[in-house]
Amino acid sequence: MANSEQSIHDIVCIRCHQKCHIRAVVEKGKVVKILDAECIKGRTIPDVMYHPDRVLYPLKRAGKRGECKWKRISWDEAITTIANELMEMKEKYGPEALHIKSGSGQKHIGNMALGMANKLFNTPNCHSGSYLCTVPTILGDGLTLGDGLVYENNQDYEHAKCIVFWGADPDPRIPRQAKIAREAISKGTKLIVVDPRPTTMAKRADIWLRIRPGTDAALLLAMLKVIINEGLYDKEFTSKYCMGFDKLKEHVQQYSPEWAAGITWLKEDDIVRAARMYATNGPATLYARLGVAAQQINATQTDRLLDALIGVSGYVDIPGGNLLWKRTFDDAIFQSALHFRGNIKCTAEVEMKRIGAKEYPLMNKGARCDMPLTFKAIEEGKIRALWCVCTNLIVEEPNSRETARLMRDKLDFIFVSDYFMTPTAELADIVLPPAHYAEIDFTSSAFGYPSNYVTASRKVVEPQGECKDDREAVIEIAKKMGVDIAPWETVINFENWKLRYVGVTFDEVWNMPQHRVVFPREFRRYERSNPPFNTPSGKYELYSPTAESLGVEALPIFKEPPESPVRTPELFKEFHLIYVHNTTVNYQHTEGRQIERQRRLAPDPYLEINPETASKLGISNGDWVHLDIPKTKDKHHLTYRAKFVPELDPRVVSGAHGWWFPEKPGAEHGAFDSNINALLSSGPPHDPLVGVPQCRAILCRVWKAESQKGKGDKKNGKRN
Amino acid sequence: MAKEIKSKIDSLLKMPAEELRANLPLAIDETRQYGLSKAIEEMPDMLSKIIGRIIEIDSAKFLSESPETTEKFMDFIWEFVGTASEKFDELKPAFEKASNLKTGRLSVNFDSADSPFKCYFRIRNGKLEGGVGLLRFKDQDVRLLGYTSQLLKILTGDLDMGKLVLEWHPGLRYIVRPVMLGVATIVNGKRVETVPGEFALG
Repeated sequence: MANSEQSIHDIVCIRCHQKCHIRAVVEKGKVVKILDAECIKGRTIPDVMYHPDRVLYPLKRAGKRGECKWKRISWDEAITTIANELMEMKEKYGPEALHIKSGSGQKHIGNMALGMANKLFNTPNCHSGSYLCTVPTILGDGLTLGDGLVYENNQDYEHAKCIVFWGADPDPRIPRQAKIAREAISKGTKLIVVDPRPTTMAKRADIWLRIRPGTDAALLLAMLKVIINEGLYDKEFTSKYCMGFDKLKEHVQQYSPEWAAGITWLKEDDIVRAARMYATNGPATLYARLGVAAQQINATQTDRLLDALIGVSGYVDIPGGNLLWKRTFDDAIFQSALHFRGNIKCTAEVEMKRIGAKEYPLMNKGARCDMPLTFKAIEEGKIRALWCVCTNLIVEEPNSRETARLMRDKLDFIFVSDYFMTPTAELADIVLPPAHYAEIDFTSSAFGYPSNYVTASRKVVEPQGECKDDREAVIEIAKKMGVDIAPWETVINFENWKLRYVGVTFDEVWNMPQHRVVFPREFRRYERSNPPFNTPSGKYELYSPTAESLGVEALPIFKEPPESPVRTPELFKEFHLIYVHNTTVNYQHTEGRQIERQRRLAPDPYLEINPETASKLGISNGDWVHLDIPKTKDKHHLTYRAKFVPELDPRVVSGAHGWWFPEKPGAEHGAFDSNINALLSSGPPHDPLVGVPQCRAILCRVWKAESQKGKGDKKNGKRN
Repeated sequence: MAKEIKSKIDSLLKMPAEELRANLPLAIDETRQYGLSKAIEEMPDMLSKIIGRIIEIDSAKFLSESPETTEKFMDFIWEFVGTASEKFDELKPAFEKASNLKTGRLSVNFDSADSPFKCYFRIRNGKLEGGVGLLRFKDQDVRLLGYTSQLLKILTGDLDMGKLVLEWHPGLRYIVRPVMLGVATIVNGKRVETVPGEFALG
């Protein structure tokens, strides 16, 4: 790297899931510009790296938790303190008393650090937060076919004749793939969108099913009935590779489009049209995300119905269909971040002590503890220490206030790794400064078709201040604890270990064209596998005896959300709106609120609301409004800025996700002001396979805030 | 087989735990003295029967109460399997494939949560050998974690490895599964096939 002149370097942006390949312009040892970025998150990489508030040195708490008093310490003191605390905790309570939590921040670096720590610190109580995210689809897909199928790295938009976005808003979430989808659509590919919100894609869809939140299973059952009864299903695939097709066929007869229309707020004709369009315009590719198969107590079972739709239509692992992303990396035996996290374990004796192992055996098999039970364990003193890496736990988890209380009052020791002093970092005893991904070496597995390569990304500048790769921090702590760290003596050794079965090293991958090693892109691999699918029967299990043995229906059914116009009509009279989340391309979850260029584009937490609904409530566009839910009635409420969305169902509102306010004082930094998690409980009911509570499709009410202070202030994201 | 050895093994299978614990080491020594290869030829299912008996009488307790016996037993298991594996030509392709991993070997650790039953086997250059204790993580490809009875049932082919907690890369399944079936075949002295039973989780 040249310090004295501008140079341009390839890197992989891992600020979100997309892993775009971009270029960094470096001048005098600093990243001054980003080229080829798809979104503001990529363009503002330098803004994050050189932000005046970035944590550059290890910090130790100098007052009580939450007093926001810190003193700078050396890495040696930080590592020694952490190691001593963990060893003492291990001695008194066992290594399982440590909970490690990662998230989406610094995509995959945090998850890899978590996985390394899972092993080296020998605690089974680890979670990457994904029970609120991908895990229902991972487990649902796992039960059906033993691989992933509907997550955002499984689609082939380019070759599809029909695209379905189901509970998924690709433009903010996966902008690069959204672009490919748009190109396909412009050339005649059909588009079906199932979403209560008028997303960008919904507005250009051939069929937009503006569905009542939480009723997707009903729609899926009815669509399956249409496809099966009209003979539109793939007869060869179902007869040769599916288990339980006849059972499924019998099962769906009770779920007519007319029945589904009554439940979903949709028109019967539209349901039938969508089913026919999907089944007869193949190959079709379907992307399902948080709106349908996450954050709800029927999420895993709903995902299985998505799998059934794809399977009976014959769109599995074919060009233009839903590809088996994980299979490609399985066959190459490459240890991607997704493989790594779930397949690294503690010693056998300790592994059996995972919180939630008995209640959620599938989660246990994937090395995930249960979060609601973990909070209970903290309360009971069974979890004594916490490491948060790349996660803003308080903002991210339901029951934010309770999470904060537990952190503040119940834990013996907390250490947090984060770029900034988030509400979570403010309650730590030690804060570690992570290096930015432009400052470290890592490999990244491809995302989005053809999804068959691994890229080496080299650091383009030295870490700022004393920032350090989170993985390196894990290694140093483990060394201090006297743990056998082989073969992960260094971060590069760790990367080489991931590549060991591929037979190349990190340096060799870096020296390959485009810095990538490419694996074969194959299709219909079930035709050449023995068994075809990685399930107990070896088949694509439309009917799952495993699900049944775990206490859920072998054939999924529809269940009303816990609170809904149908299940709780009396409650609906007062809490007469249904809440869902929305996301913006400007932020990745809870991060970015202190980055001026990002904040300028999305300065406030918006609540999307239909103008007619707003008018009845005396709310004007741009007004500050409050929102509460039945459980927090008259006790706590949230504050949003109303944003009129005429095409939104008048009975639905949609709140911005992940908000906190770096500029607000105190340890909380406004974490409870505009974040639905501050109202939600992590208590029952839960999805029976994943343990996630109901976090969307929630009844709520909205009213105009008394104070409209700052309503007109839009400059530079400054708020009162 | 010398009648005495066979009779000794047969009576082992009827002994209660205390007696079995006392007599197993002797039986192992006598079998070795007789000649393991010969013994395997004459009683190919010897090991599966002994394991079966240990499972019957509470394997975790049995193996926990006498660590020396357990160590000797584990040593015997892998000596038996290594020796017997030479007689099964049909397993050679699976072992070759395992040896052809870019790491040059396939190493499998058995890690019990409730007893000192911790051992390993390794396939290199098409040959299987094993031993007592766990290989270091850096030398391991697969670790099977479970209760003692589960791990023993894996050896006899009475439990599919997918039912266990696994530390590995799932991409190894097409290599490991045939090898595990091969080990069960060797332990039983006859072909073992089990129903695929694992599911992949991310």
